[in-house]
Amino acid sequence: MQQQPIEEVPKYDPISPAAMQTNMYIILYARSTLAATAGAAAGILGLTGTTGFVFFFAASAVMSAALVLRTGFNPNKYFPQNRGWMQISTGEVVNSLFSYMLFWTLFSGLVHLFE
Amino acid sequence: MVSQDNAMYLDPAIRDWVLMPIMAAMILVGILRHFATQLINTMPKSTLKDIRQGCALIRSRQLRFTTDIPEHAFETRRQFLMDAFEKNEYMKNPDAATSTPNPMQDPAAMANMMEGLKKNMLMFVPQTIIMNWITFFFSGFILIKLPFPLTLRFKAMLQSGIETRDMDVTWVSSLSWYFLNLMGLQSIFTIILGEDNAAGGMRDMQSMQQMNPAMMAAGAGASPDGHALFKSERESLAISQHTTLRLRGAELRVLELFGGGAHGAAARRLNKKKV
Repeated sequence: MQQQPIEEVPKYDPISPAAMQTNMYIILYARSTLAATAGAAAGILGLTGTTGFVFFFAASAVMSAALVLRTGFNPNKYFPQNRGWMQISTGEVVNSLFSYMLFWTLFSGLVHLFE
Repeated sequence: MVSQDNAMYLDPAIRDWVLMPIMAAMILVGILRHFATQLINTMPKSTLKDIRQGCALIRSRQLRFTTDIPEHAFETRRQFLMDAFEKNEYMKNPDAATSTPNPMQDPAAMANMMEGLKKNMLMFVPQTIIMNWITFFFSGFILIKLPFPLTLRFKAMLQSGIETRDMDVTWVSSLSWYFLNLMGLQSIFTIILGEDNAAGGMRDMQSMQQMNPAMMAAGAGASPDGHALFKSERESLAISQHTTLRLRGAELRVLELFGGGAHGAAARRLNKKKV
């Protein structure tokens, strides 16, 4: 299993586009939910400045780890051309950053700003 | 923490009557836009011949990429398709001139362009209305404090309508709250409406910028010309070769799949024989 006895066999990528679409959507959904909840948490905790961004990337890393765990440490099985690790760890992170900022602002305002 | 280092508080009425309504309005407009787009989206009209032409091309492409069939079968199909393309058998209108038709006279192309226009309208009209609504009613006061620092350059943009020089840039007016919503609500729409939502936000703009050149090209009359498509497809077919790349070593993979380590030796022996 660990040692590949056959070197000459060309890589065959049997991934159906529909299944891959679903996988992408799962990542998108997970990241979206994470952005909203992490943003709310950061706002309630009252994080400001760089701390907040560090919090976001830490949360994203945790989410990446959770996703990798979900794929059974074999993300390449779910995405084509060996982009599994890339896709799982970085996919949609930048897009979700905006949502994180929105919720961070909203909750820090609601909790700490209005009197 | 926020409230400690700068002792400024905002009126809760601002929260109740400005902050929340703007966000609610933007979410609702996004949902409305999603369903309006679904309503407007019509299936592209096509005749039987259109579909046949497209399917012939798809078939040929599949033959070129999926060659997991015996060689004689591949060769027969290749010859057949090449002959068919040569004789324009699957053409929509075989007698048409090779010159590209004017897209303005082709109803299909016109419908395509109208589709794009409608989508653009749905994108820009609500956003313009909301932006005007916000600048008209809610300008001139501080709405919220951003928890992240910004450089002074943003001051003019984010504190529009507030003429104070010394206030921290992180205190922003309602227009910045609008922009924050515009960029950040995408994930909410993903959660509410699912993946392929048309609710707006940044993703849509990105895709539009990518789509536009392609749409322009299609509108300019390059795409519906069957002659050129068939000609190029025929050339690709002519140079395509039969390989069983993906089938090669299939038995070894099966052995590996079911036998695991026990059949490793057998697999290796087979492998040697093959090479």
